[in-house]
Amino acid sequence: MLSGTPPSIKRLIEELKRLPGIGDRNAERLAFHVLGAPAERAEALARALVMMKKTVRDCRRCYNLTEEDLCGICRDPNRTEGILCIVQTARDLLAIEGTGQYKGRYHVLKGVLSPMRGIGPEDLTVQALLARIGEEGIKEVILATNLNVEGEATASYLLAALKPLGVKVSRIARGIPIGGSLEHADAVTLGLAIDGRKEL
Amino acid sequence: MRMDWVEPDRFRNLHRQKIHLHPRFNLVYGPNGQGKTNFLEAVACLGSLRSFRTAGKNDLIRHGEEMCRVSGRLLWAESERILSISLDQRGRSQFIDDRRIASPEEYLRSVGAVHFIPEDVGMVGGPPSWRRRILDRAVFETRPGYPSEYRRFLSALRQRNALFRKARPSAEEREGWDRALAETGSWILKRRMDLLGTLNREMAALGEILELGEGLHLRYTPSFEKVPGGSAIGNIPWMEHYETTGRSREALAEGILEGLFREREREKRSGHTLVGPHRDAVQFLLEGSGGPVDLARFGSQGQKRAAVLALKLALVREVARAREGEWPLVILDDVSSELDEARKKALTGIIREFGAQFLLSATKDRDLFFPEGEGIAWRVQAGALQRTA
Repeated sequence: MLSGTPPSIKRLIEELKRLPGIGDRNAERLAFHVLGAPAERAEALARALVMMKKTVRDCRRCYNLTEEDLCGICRDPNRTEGILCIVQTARDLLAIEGTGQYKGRYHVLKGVLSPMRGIGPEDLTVQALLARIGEEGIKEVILATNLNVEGEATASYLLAALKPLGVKVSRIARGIPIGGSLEHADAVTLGLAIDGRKEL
Repeated sequence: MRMDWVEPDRFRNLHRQKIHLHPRFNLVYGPNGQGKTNFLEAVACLGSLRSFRTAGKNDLIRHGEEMCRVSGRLLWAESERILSISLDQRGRSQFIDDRRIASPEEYLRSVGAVHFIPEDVGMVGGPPSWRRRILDRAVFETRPGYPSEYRRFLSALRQRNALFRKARPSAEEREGWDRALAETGSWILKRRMDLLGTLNREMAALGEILELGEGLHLRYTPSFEKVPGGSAIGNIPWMEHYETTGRSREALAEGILEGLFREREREKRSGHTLVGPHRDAVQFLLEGSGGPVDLARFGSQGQKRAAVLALKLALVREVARAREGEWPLVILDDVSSELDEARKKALTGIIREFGAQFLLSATKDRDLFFPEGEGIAWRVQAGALQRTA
């Protein structure tokens, strides 16, 4: 950036660079794009950013994102009662919703266990989850944490914590991605895919 | 798989020279300090991305230069590749056919062609981590998915160790990390044991040829089978000979889990994970008339040398088998000077049977490995290689 650039443009560029995936070149492009656009576009963008931060919060029950007390899924009377899908983040929830395969409700953990980063069950929404099992008469729980080491350890932890409550606990299946080829799958994935085979 | 030519450039004391290698036997000889081992090291760096001596790049770059490079042409079956590595102050870069390969793993998968066999007799009696590392490298070369399995295990191990710093983790939280360690660790165990199943047969055969007597093998004892409270090595009753192969991955995971449970109190005191593939014992054993003999405790220097050589040669065979008969390039640095006459002869016999390309160094004995018409010899003086045969 040339030293002749006005400070307000520099400031915007610096802010944009904090966003994931935005480097120097992209930040400059975006800043100059906004500069060249009509004033109302810039104001709309700024308002949208501020509004989002002000109004979006966690759902009181499941910790999904919402602007109300309860999120759209918790308020939906057509969702199947008695089944919960446990996810790490609200984005994971969106991914599962995108499949259209699941009709039950969710619980967002807001993270995974990681002793190295000092994250234990008390830093996740586990207490709220355990309370919901009794309050909502939950019969089945699907553990949909990631399939990396932290996600697996969190799933094992939840299995141990949920067992005394007498609910059915399942884990999302692991295997080869659709469109993926076997020769590029790692051995662990392939092994699990064999273990989880289905009769045709 | 073989190297057609190699060209060191500003690498230690070596002259910039394109050396055309023989498909079978290549011998560099001459007095010490002239650059024999430097030449072997240049080829090893090109093929394995690591030096078998000091690791510092500043030692590899010739004094007064900014960078160094080694290039070479690798041939196998019906294809060829130009390899090149360069080192400068910022680090190492590797290239295949002039394309920069960012990931060392990817480079090694495409090349993975060089086996250096060092004189580290210390491996027999040294810390068990040395012997585990040898096994892990061999698994890596025969199973491309192993590094990612290993990283998963290390990540579970670090997380679990971090849990010891927490004041009062719940039983459920501990169980979560116990299972993560057992799951990821059991894959490592299974891979090592699968390798040992075939490796031990090979080692026994080579051990006999190298006059070690019968039944040379590596005994692998998982940490969950060690005597509680015992040290890593030397505390295992000979009678409880561990059957290295044939256990399912699930059974191994269960074994680790039970071991973690048993060692809970000791772990709490030490603040470290005491059960898992990072604590397993590997021993060099010979079958004696009175039962197996631990070479670390009862082996002579000569026996230890021969045992390490047998292991390394068995690994070369194993790699060739895993690569469907494609032999790696084998580098032997001054190996004959450490063996007695009978074993030297035996070694010569073995390597003539191997289909691999060999790169050897010697101070004397220059005729030993050198079948008529099957190789090239160079005399090395002040960093220059001069062909003599």
